[in-house]
Amino acid sequence: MKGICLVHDVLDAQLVDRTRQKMGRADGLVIEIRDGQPPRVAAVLVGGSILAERVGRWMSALSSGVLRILHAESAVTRVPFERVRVIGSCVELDLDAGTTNALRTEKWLDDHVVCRIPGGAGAERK
Amino acid sequence: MKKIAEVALGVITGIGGFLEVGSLATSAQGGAEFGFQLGWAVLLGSVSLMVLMEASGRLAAVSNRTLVDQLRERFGIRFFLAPLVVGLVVSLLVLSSEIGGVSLALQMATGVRFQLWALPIAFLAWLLLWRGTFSLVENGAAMLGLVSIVFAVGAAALHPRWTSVGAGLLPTRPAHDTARYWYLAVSILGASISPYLYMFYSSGAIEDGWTTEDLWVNRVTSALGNIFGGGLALMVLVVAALVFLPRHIHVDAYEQMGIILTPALGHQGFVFFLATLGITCFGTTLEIALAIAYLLAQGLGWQWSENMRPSQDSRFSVTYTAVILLCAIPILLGVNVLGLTNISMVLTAASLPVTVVPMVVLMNDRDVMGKSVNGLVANLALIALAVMSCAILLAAFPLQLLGGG
Amino acid sequence: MTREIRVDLLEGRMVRDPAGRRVGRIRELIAEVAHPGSGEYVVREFHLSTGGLVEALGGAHLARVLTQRFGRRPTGLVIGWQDLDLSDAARPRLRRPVAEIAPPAKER
Repeated sequence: MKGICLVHDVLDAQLVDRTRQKMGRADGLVIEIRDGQPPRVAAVLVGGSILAERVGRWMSALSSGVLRILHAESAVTRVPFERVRVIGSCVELDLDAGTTNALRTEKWLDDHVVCRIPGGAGAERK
Repeated sequence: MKKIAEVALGVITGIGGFLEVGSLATSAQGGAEFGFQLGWAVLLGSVSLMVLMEASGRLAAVSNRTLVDQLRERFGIRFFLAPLVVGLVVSLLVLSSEIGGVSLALQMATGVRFQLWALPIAFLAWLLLWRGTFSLVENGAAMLGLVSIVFAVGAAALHPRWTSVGAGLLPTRPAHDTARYWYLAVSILGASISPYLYMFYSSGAIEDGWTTEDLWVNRVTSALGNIFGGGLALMVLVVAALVFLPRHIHVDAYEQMGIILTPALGHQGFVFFLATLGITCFGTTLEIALAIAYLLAQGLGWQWSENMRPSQDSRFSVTYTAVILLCAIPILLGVNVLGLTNISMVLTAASLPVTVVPMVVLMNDRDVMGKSVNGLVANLALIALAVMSCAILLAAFPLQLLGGG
Repeated sequence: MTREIRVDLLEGRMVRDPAGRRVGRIRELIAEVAHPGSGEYVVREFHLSTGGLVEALGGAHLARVLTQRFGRRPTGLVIGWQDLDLSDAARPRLRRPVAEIAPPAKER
């Protein structure tokens, strides 16, 4: 049976939700190790701190430092792997991105910056 | 018919969009100091850009992913940091130079100091990106940039010996100051082969919805746009060679370039030069600001498109807003624009390997390119470019020290 | 008892055999549906790359592209999930000597 390549096809892939809104990339992937059973693919992770860990300890420390200065919390979005619908040029998830943390910064910028500038909001396309 | 119109528009965009602060400065300096001898660098730069743009356009059309998408997805975050960081640093420097170019054009036109123009220019550029669409930004600026054809008119009016110009298209040993010669050659290459250009081009292919049916449009556009655009940069070098070299004028500041077209075209030449400098640099300001936003958005997986309202892709739109403002600051502070341009062109040339080398791998990956993988000729060209880019990286910093002036 | 491991941090880790000798680096995990109709995926096998200059220079991606284009002989080892001990994710080990595990398979 043809399988999926977790590193080649899923890791770092563009994630899109049900409406095809981009919601980040698969920055991390979690497998669950179980005694006597094959590891279960548990979740996809999205978040800057996940990326920082992949780069190295120095990057993790830098990222935590920046978040501390900004009094911000690290937002990691964990999407159960059962939500993965299609793996192709993007990884399509069976959820609404707005219900996750993945668009937290996007939403904050929209509410506090973009919508306060004339011309920022309105119909989806110019 | 529609496709032919699209090709024509693409070619015009290529021509009108080719010149900017870097190519103007480096071609003018090259002509002023070495006559026609650096013509080969302009030619090599244009052909190299043509190869890279065609490849990145084909990549986008076939895979429906941009070059930046593929760099992240195929090579992972640890490798991707290199093109991300290097691309950001170099693009920010070039963006400042472009804003500086517009500011200087306005200073020369109005007498008002260039520092005072930095913020109004930044605001206007931001406004056009905020309210405009991708085709307005790309095509509008490039159409206006066709004013740069005046350099071809000026060159013709000066009656150069075209055989000598032709001879300059082959590399020859300089009669003097070898370090400076090679420094300017590298700068000219950096001005032509800027990574933001082919990254922007592949993003544009996605914005315009290119598919495999558009592969021939891509080929024709990238070829003709760069050949003719490169021809204009060559005309800048020719005019500089005929105007500055006999008068022993070294171009140390943009203000000195003001007279470049006056021997050929009289006072109108000055006006046309200012229009060319101002318009082409402004168009490039829009492109680079978008290119930086594309780089971050695509690399990190944000929503992005210049055709969306800013609130639909807040991180993308706030990014180009922030970078335009950030890059206006050095100009506001009065930094030497020509010096900044020269450094950023050499750094651009030195940064090429981090994108060109992985492109060799991507363009041969059947999972990415399907049937449209590189053939032998495309591979030879791209590999030669990759080797050249590594050679430039090794030579760039010694040349900056020895020939930077 | 269950434990979670990050695949992105596991990728590239050197795998050693029970005697402590280097075998190769983890380059890929192949997953398949656990039961038809369920959305659950389980890891079926791990692909290890056995090094070489190409891998060192360009990683698994370059090696795979060269294999595709130029028919380069693939190097690598396919390990079933049951043969890899991930009790210490930083130091993955084979549960059996390499010779007792299936011969090298084609890399993707």
